[in-house]
Amino acid sequence: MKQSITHFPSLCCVVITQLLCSSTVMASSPAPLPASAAPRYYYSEKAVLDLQGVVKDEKGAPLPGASIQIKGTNQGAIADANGVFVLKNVTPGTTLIISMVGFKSREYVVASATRIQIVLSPNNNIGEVVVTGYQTLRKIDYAGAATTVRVKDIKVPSIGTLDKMLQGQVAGVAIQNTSSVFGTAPKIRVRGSASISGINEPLWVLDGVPLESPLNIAPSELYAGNARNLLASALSTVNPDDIEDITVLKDATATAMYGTRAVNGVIVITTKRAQKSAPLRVNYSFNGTYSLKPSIRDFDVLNSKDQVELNQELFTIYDAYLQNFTANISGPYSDLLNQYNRKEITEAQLREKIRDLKTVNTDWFDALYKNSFTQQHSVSVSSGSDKTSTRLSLSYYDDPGKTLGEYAKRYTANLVNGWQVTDKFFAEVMLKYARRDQRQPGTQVNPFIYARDASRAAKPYDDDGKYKYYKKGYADFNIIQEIDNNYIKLQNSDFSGQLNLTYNITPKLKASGLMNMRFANSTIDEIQTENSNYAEQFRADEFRIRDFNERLYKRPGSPSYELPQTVLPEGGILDKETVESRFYTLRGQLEWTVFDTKQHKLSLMGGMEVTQNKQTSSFSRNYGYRADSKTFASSPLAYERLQVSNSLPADERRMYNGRNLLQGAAAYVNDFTRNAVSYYSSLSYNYSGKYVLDASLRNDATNVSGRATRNRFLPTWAVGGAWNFTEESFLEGISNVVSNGKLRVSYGLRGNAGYRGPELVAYYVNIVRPSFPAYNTTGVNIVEAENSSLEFEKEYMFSTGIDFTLFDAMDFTVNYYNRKNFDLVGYKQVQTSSGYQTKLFNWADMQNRGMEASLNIRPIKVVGDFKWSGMVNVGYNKNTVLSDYQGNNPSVFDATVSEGFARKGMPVTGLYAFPFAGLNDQGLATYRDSKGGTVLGFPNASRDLSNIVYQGSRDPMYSGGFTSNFAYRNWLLGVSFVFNTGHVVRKADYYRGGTLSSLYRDDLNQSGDFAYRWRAKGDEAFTNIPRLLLPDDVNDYINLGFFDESVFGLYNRADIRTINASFLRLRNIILQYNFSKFARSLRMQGLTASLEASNLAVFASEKFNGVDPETILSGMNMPPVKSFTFSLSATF
Amino acid sequence: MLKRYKLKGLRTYGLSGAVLAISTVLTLSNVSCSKFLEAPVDNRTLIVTLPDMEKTLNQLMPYSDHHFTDIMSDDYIFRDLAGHNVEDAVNQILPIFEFDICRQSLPATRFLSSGFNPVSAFRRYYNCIINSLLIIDKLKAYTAASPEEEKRVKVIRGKALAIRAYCNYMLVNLFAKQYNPATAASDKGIPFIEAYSGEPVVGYKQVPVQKVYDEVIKDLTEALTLVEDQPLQNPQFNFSVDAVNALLSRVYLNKKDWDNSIKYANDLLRRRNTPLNVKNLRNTIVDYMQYSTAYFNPANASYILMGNNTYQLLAYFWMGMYPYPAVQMLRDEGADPQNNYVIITSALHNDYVPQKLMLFQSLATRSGNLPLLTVDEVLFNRAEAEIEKAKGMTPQAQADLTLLINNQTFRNDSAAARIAALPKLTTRDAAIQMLLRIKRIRFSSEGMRWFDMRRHNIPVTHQGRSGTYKIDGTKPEDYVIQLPTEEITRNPDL
Repeated sequence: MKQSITHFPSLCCVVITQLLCSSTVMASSPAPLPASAAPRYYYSEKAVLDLQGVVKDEKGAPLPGASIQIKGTNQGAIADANGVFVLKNVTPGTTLIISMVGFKSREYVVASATRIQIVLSPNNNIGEVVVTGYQTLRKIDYAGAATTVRVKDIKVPSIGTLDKMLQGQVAGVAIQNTSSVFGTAPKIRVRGSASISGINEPLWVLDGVPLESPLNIAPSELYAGNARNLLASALSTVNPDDIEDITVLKDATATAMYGTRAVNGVIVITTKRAQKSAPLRVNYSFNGTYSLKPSIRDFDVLNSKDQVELNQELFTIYDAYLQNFTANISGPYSDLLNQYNRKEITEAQLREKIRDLKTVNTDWFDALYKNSFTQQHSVSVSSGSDKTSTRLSLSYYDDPGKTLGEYAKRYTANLVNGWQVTDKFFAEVMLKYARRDQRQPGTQVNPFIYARDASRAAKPYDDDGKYKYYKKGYADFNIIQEIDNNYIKLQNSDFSGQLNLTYNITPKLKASGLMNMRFANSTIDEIQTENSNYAEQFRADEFRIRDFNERLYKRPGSPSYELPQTVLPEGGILDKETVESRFYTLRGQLEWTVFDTKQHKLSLMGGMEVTQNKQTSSFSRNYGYRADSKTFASSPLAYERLQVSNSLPADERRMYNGRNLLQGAAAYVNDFTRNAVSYYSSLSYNYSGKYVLDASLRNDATNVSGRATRNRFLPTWAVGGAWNFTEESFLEGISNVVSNGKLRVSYGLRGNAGYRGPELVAYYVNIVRPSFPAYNTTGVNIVEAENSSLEFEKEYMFSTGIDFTLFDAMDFTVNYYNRKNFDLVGYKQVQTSSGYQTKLFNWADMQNRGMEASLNIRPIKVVGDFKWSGMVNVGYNKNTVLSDYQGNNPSVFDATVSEGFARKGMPVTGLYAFPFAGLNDQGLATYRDSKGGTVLGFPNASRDLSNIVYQGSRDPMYSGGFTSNFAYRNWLLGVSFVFNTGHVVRKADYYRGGTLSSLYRDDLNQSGDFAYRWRAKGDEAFTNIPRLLLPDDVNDYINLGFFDESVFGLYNRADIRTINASFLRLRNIILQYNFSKFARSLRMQGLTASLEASNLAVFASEKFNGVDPETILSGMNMPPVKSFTFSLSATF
Repeated sequence: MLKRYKLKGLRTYGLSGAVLAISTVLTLSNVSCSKFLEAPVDNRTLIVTLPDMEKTLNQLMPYSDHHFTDIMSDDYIFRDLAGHNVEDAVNQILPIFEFDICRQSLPATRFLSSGFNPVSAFRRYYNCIINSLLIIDKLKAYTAASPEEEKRVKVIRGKALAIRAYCNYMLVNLFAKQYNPATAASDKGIPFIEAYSGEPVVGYKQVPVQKVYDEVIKDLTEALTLVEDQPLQNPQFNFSVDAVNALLSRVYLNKKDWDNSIKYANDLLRRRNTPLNVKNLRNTIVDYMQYSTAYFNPANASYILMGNNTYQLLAYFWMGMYPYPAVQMLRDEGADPQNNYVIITSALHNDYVPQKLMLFQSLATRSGNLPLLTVDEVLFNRAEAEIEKAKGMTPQAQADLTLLINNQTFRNDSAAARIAALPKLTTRDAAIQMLLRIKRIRFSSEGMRWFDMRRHNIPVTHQGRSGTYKIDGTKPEDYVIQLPTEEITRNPDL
């Protein structure tokens, strides 16, 4: 790996030098004049002529800026604004190479004509071919449902990764951008969800090779918002400027080649390549994005005055109770009370200071966010001769961060080189390198969460300009200081090398091979320095709190009079995780055109593929870390505490699949290997260009599916048919109205291979005997029982659709599909005597039905030079769980989680809530039970799901977008909207934390709803917000059998807290100007500049009170902010 | 070369030739890639090596899952203290205390999830049974490469058999009637697992009590010939010859086979007659935390087999369950001069908690290890069998009980009085009563009492939240815990 990297820059240098050498001569010789006029006489028999030509596109429009080069020399000319060029003294027989960005280069042999017209056809006519990753097929021979988009049409420079840009661009692809942090993955569903417990994300394919995220991340972990999520997006290493186009393969025929990984759809990305026989081109593009910080005024929270008054009231009610926990956590109000209790201030001062508190009104967004300027530079150089073609691109992305303590930098380098070795043999080498440096505030100090939730009466700095401290975990806490001292540093480098070989054995038989190796190394350091509050919590050992501070340690079995002590006398904590990923793909295939006559065309394809994904991550927790000197203080007790304790606080555990990997250890390694051998074949038959039959078959064998051969080999197959109806003679009459018409239908079996397999799953565990470490030992824990009849998840997919073009101006596509997902794997309760509570079964069925429609309007002349074009797409998906999926016999609280819950006859992510029945005359919330009665709550263990009501799907049922482009001469104005609708979410908790002790903390603000709470009898007619709970109420609730969750959680999950999550986002507005004249004067191929405003507005339910509806509020997820981008693209 | 061949094939034989060629290549590559496809997915283990099997058995060693039965014994009362008890925990403990579990089948959700309940005991015992059968299966597939390995294979099989026997024995003593030679062949026992199966759902038929005992004895007798004399590592956490002997003496005692009980007790006590001197321990260690640590130290020679980790043992003291009757009994007997029960003062109430259990209180050690088989118990077993056999006190029983009395925390005068009384206990009932009293003191709050009560039909009355609950000692079925609802509804063979 190391060696490959070190070789890489030198390789790049060679290529650059080569390219520059060949270009300097050309650039410095502007006129195509021969060296001297004199020799003309000697060659008089060979007449020379002055040539005037015009370069046009297929529609007859002139192509200004096209370059004309005399083959074999560095001389040539450039077409003017009317596409006209003049070459003097040209010898007949000379070959000219005419090229233009976006068009296929062509050659012209000079004859006797002096006035010539040259027509260039557009490059990569993507309407004509479909790239499946295994093959490039003529669209006319293709029966699958695939949508191709060009990056330039969907690009949003401020986003940085391609996956998030895809939102709203392809019908049937629903994308929820859950976080705007660089490197996190959006939630993508192609035609709905296919699995209940497994992977639902589509497969990404880059230049024919599946692209995995740099670490193996469990489906349940994907949107968890922890440090590993920074590596969740597979696309973070790909520079969007290097991508030519993206094809989304949606139905069974289209995805059949991907076998057991195809069930969630496949997104194929093709990178740019240089054309053969194309002159040297250099492109530089720049994007600068200015992002604005959000404001607390976008959120509905109490202001300082209301907040402090609420705290005062609560402290009166809960005096003893609240005084207790303020030693652990304090906010502005309890901080003053503490000073008063310690007689540091007088009562008069206390009153005065409380009055001051009411006017603080800190906007934490202002304090923690910054207006930032992100920039991205890309340079690409491409050139081609008739034997080779080369493209090299370099890019640099620099995001200084939208919040304090945040930045991301990415460097990419891509090199593609193609050689036409012989007439029959073509070889291509692709080298890709990406490096990323990123810093994020630590998992526990998310600036967004803090800015949203912290009391506005608290402030970052004291009156004297020093940090203002509050208590957290018994130690001093200031968010700004903490962000400086508690952070994640991520470094990732990703190198891939690919060799594509094609050998045309005969004109009808083609053999091709592909070899890809990709190495990705990542380091995630989560650092809590010695000055962080987190480290200080380990040292908070004042006598009053010693017995309460869980970070202190008392050796088991030590005498009862011994006090808990600190285990971290010096330094902080370094959690270091390194992830090494190795991906190998080897593929060989044969494509054979059996016959190709006017009537029949039959092609066969078959191949074999071997892949290996190896991911190793190692984690270590290191105590005593001195961040400045990068040294460690000795802290033996800290390790002892970690290894001995069975009850560490949750933030000191590392849970994975229900195991605490730090049990009895300070480090662990997680290995993951997926080996697969696959055979695939396909048949494509076309009868007189009208009728198409496609069929394919694939067999996957993997190591993850266990040893039971029967289940390891699952042939997936698909058949599809298409009718190019506009080719029919009876429709010839209307061919100027309808063209490119195609009716498609397909059916097939796809699979979803989980990582479980039928074998039992057992891991080593450390059996720790805390008080008697001499008896510690190792066990093997059988986590999951064997299920010898476990199989892959499967799906039958029926898909049909129609494509046609109206008046050569509007492209329509309408699709319908029906997915029957069966043998879905899920946990099911089993008899107790089986020794397990649940086992993994193939037993659930699910259905996805949907429609997609898209309309693309090609540029239409509105008036004069004013043209308009547009795009609309919408996808509808209805997901229904067909089995009575109950998993672990859920309680009403399990079934009402905000992420949604799978129930029979409902969507897999159905959201459920408790039916609110209004406030009673005491101002307490009541709910309707299934018997029609009104109750004050449901016990935690209640399992009667008839007491909860369905609210709607958590995933959008409709998603799509529309774009409108106005062009006037060199100006272009584009407006693009995206939307998701038909789904619901739950408002952020009214009772934060869900327990009494976390509820009335004065370091947090409360939702603005508190201002409308019930205060006096009669209020229940006007408000749904319950009154403050008195200690007596709490006792009453307890006597009724209701505890924290069944009081607070119930209200948080009441149906009145559900919000329609539909939104329409003004994704971006772009204004672009093409400096064609100016560019020509500089002998450039093109120069465009654009201004873009992103994320200007979101139209969503008012109930969100300004919170972005796409952002699931947890962990490190941060919502997108408004931004403005300046872009420049220059081609030489 | 290959390409040329294929090309020729295509031309000569057309399509079928190509198919043949491709399939030949595929078949060949398939053979070579089988290893590639057997590569481990992650750092999981498929338990195919002997060390892995041994480690699996480490994990399968039984827990003290029977410990919840203390709440059913006559050692505990319930105090309904509103505002002090954790209410939902009380609701989940009461079905045990009020003998609901003996009258009706209850689902897991009615109990604390911490594991302190009959359903998780049921599940865990079966988990150990299934997986010890799995290990026995895996052993059959294993070919030992050397005599050392052969020996190791034997030991593993022995341990697996012993684990299975222990769990079957505990299950039949919790979920079926006390063994009665007259009715055992027809008394309904427990769902019995004959052999391992990897299928997701396998039905298990409920076999008679007699059959379970027969199987237990069969397994243990075989295990005795296989297990190590003295395991090198962690003997207290492994089934050794001592542990199997001790368990056999218990099983035969419950089977009312006095001779065999005495025989295996003798076998054990000949090898080690080292009961725990609680009195000495208590007198030398004042600090309760250190006393507790010393008490539960696996190094104590009395401890033959320690349970694997257990739940947060102290939890139930905060749920209204208090060992007041046990405290009272100890004091009445003059066996609590050092105040073996510590008083923890909360804001509202004084809680009585046995000092010996304080080890399990600290944050770091919420779970710990309780002894499952002890030399002390075997002494009691031998004494009981002797008394039962002779229908009165015997010299051996007298000697054993004297030793045991001297080891308890009796005041000197109380100890002397009891020792003096022993020869006068000529009737079976009086002798047994004395024995059970001393045993109750010795194993207070350690999960032994309920089984003694079952064996001897000792009546018990509990004052619950909404009434008085009684087992009058006349019907052996009153002591039977009903199978969990999950078992009844999901086991296809029930």
